[in-house]
Amino acid sequence: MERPMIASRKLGSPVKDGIAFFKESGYLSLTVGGAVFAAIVVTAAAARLLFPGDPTDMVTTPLLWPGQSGLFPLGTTSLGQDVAAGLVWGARASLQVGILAAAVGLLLGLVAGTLAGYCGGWIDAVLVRVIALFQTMPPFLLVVVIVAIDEPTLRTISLAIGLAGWPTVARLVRAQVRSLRQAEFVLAARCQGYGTTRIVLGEILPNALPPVIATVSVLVANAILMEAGLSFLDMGDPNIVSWGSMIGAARDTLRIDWYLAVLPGLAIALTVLSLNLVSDGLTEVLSPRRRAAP
Amino acid sequence: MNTLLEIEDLHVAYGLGSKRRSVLDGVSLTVDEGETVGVIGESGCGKSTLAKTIVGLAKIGGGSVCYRGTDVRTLSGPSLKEYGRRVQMVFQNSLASLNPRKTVFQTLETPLIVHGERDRRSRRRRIEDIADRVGLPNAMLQRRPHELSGGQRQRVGIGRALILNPQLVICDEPVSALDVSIQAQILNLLSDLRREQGLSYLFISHDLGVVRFIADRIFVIFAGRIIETADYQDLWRDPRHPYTRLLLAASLGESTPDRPGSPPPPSTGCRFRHRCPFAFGLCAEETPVLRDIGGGHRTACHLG
Repeated sequence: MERPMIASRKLGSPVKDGIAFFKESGYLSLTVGGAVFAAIVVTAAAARLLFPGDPTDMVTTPLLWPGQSGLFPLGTTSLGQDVAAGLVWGARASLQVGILAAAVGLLLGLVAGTLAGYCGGWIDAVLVRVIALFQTMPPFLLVVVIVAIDEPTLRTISLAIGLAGWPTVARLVRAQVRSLRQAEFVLAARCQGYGTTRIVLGEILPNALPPVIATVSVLVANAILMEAGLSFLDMGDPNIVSWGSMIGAARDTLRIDWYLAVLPGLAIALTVLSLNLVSDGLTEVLSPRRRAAP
Repeated sequence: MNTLLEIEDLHVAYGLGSKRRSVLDGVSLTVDEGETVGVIGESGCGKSTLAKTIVGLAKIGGGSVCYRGTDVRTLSGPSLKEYGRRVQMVFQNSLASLNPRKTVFQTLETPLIVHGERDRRSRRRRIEDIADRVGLPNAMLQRRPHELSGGQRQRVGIGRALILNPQLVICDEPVSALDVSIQAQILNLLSDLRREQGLSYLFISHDLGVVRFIADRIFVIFAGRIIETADYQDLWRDPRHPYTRLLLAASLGESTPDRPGSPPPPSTGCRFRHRCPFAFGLCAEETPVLRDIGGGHRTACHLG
């Protein structure tokens, strides 16, 4: 007997299906975000080659508009510094702070979250309260206080931002580890006599990490924003050009020479956007329920 | 015959203070070498807790669990590790019981590493041998759990349990998540392996039909207590406890008026009395104890 076939979805051309899969599965945002971010990283890494001089040096007439001079396509500041050089060297500072701060936050969060989630009991109770304590403080204020106490070097700033960011990671890791601790494959490992280290590192963490990895790019983006905020307030490292300090310096001439604030602003926006795209893409791609390719 | 596992008056409870709830309430049973003991009961009766307690995943509240005459609570360090090698468990949910990020090969290899098999080649030989025994083609070894069928996954679960050469395997509903045709395959595999390797099983299920196929002796649990135990033939031919009869009728496909789980079992007297068609005054007053009615057939019913 002929039965009507149940169409689960409209059948399109393989190319269209492929594109739809690409879009839905998160690979699109991952590729676009990743490409933009990679370009920024490469530019920052090549700063010494592209602009060998000190970006704080006065090189020509101040306040050249973008396009006014072929040698300085993005114009110059009120002190006659090359804006293009500032942007590229600023990328270096922003990325260094972003990555270092994310690493600090990730490390602290991973250790604290794993301890709290796996051990439970009083260790969990104490750590949860410490996390809550950190979360009651506005992270930016915390960073400002720490930087004000210590010297405003890149390292201090990164540490401070990492200290402000670890509770997010810790909470996420704790929740993951807590639920995985009761997973049957972990119970199976326990009753086969696996050691605690092997259970945590080999069984629990590999399964807890995907959402954490997606969070890391947001962590980097937040750190870049915070560093920009600090530098804007003149609390950044005074020896280094960063996007935030460029915007801060542009305040005086904002009405007339607004490009001085807009260009580094665009750079920050582009970097943060690319990182958020990477995070969104990773969330989709690493999710256990991800679809198989058509 | 040597007694492998002896459980004596086991009590297990979950929760603390006023939320404390007794799950196992004085369970005693033994498993001899080479024997398959079946444990049946409905969901929530404590049979999975029994399995977890034996392998050390749930805390013993009272009574004792002895393996070859040694109380497992006195084990520590190397002797506890040895116990973890000798007593293995096969889980109900084959997908949840396998690490999703590990290949079959890695899943089978890790227990060997943990228990001190240093030589990579002999590990590989052992894994291929076990895969062969449980009916997994070598090509499957590089797959991850979600790339396998339910039956194949359960074969991996059984392989993992057998790879350390255990003596006792606790099977917690190993086939209840599988299709009926696959159930038969896995049950056949389990009984073949028992014959080949001289294993003992503690086989836990809610399905009398499945337990009868594999078990030598059967214990029926209701609300944390053993209410009947007998040779599998005796139990099938002559079930004494009303609850066992109900299970039997259910496994023969007869409809029963009973809706499991609805009234919570009373804590005093016979725990089954609210659902028992034959309950009378004495059932509420006195807790029936297991009484021998001949040939090792024991039942806990005032009418038995």
